[in-house]
Amino acid sequence: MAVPGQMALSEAMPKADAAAAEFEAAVREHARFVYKIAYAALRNHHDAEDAVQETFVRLFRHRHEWPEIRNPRAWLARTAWRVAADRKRRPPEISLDAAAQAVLVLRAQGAAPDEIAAKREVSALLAHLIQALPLDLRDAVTLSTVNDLSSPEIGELLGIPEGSVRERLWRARRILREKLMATIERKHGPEGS
Amino acid sequence: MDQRDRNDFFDQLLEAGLARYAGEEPLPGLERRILEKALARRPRERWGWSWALAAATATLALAGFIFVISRRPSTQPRLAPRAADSHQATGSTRERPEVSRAAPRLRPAEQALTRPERFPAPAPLTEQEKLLLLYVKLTPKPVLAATADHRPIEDLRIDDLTVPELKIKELPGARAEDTT
Repeated sequence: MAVPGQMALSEAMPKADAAAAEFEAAVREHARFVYKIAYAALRNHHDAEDAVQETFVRLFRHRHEWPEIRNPRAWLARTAWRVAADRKRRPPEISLDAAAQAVLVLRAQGAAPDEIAAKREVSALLAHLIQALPLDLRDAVTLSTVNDLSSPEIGELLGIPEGSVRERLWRARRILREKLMATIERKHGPEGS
Repeated sequence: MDQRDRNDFFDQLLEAGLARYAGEEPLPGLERRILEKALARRPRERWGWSWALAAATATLALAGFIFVISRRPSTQPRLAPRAADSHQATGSTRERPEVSRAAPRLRPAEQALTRPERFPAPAPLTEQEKLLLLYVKLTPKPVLAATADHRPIEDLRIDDLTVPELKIKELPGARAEDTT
């Protein structure tokens, strides 16, 4: 299936250049996956796209080492994660009260959890809570939000066994759930409502 | 709301929030933008390498040139011990590397500043030159002249010497003494 922009790129990149053709194929296959990893870490479209660009530029720069890269997908994930970590900025301050109020209002209106989670305030609240986690738990839970990444892949990326990944995810989710409840119900909890 | 509903709600809210956390799709045309940027960097990278290679080659060439110049024997003659008088007689002007090696080595800057007393600097005779001198000393001059002129050897042939027969004349008083 033709991808927008493919024709122009194919013309600009000579077919004889095998490395360029291989690079183009890698971009088309993995760009979105790499973007999700970068976005999970950076939470910003602009920064995430910059990180993706940087990741693929590094891939192209290392084209002489391609034969040694056994798993390009894992290589790209690892590189994107490192690039994103270097670009990570402090998340913007959010109003916890405003987020909690939004959740309670929607819930009172009978909105489903999925609808509530789609709200910007809730997303910002969750990002805030994840950032407050210890680093090992934060990395594991951040990577777990990338749907395309399996637990073994996260373990490979973080350099830990798969069992450790599962254990960290379990701990992180428990902490997040408790903090989410505490934040929302602190002032507007069941007793207050 | 009972506790169970409350727990279920927050479980579901957390799951939904995490599912959306990295679920953002990139803006359209991500692949095209990546490839365009990568392609835009390619020629620059190539030129960068070319320039780096050219600069490295030029630096090496310059370093090699300077090294060769510094190691090259100077056109100025090196100081050498005074030659024997016999050598002056021959007027030989050849350089003798053996003597040069024996001479104290001077740095190029010193060589440039040092003036030899005589040019070309005299040097002791070689074995061949000594033999030549001996040959010149022992050989008759006409032979030498003919050798120098490269005349054929036949022209140098000298007629046989003829010695006239000796005639002994008797002295006038000799016979008389014999008889006495």
